[in-house]
Amino acid sequence: MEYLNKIFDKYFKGETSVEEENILKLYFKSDKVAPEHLAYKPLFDAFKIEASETMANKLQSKPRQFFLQKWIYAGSGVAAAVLLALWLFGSPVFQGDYAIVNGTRINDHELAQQIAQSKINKVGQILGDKLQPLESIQTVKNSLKPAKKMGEIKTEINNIKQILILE
Amino acid sequence: MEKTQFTTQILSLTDKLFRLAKSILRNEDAARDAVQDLNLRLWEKRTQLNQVENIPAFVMRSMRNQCLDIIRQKHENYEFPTEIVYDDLNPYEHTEQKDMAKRVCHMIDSLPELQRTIIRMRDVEGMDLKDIAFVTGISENAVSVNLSRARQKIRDQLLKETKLVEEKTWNT
Repeated sequence: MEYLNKIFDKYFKGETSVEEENILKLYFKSDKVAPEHLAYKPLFDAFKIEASETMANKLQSKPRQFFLQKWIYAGSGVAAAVLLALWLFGSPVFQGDYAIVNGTRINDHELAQQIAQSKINKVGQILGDKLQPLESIQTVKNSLKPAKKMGEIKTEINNIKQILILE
Repeated sequence: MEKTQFTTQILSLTDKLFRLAKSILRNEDAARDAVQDLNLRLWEKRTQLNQVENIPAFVMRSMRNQCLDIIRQKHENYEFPTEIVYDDLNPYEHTEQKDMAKRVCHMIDSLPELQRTIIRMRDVEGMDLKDIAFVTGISENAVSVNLSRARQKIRDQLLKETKLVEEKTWNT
């Protein structure tokens, strides 16, 4: 016991070797800890807890946070799109049960909803219009496909001609 | 440094680096990001790693410097919001004992950065004083002094709390 007390003294002075510290760790791992040393047990238990910590098990222990994060990202995306649409197209500002469109207050809830709906439809229409040129490009490409085959057909005809001449 | 060497010598240190980063930043997500950033940077400079004598100490030092840079970038006195959850030691152990161990983890977190980094490198990672001195950039003697101060502070707090718990138990 006296030996252990000496190690404890050295330990708190920062003078122990790694080997001596391992003796203390083993001592607290055992069931034979003297009552006078029990107060220090949480200290060595804490080191054991921390030493077993890995980056991977910390990731596994927080799945709910990732799930929540996913929804936060999705929600933020939708909110950003709606805000952008409202900002771009005259933004009916909803404040409680009324809406303000171009400076005019509309108290009718249904009318306000209709205005919002029409704005959303407009967004859809504009997006459709913007995408149309891309569709046209695809249509042109499809139309040109037979023209690209012309070269191949010409070669094929020449081949046939040569065969016929040879015969 | 080849891919296999990188895996065995650098990536095997990931958990150690994570614990060090978490101790400095006191935030698990920030620590994880810092470790991944460092691993990426080391991979990009893997050809130069062959010249390093003590790779574990070098990588630990790089991790500490990176974490200190992160803190400096945020703000000189900025501390990440502490979100550390300490895992249970053993589900069958006495709750009070477990709680006290977790309390100690939080006590260590409340120490100044240098002291908490040193006590963890020594008592959790079992590193020798020479390597700790290299990682922290101070002398071995200064490491011993800081280690002693950290251990004494924790001991004093621990004894104080144990006394309070005992007094509470006697009063009830």
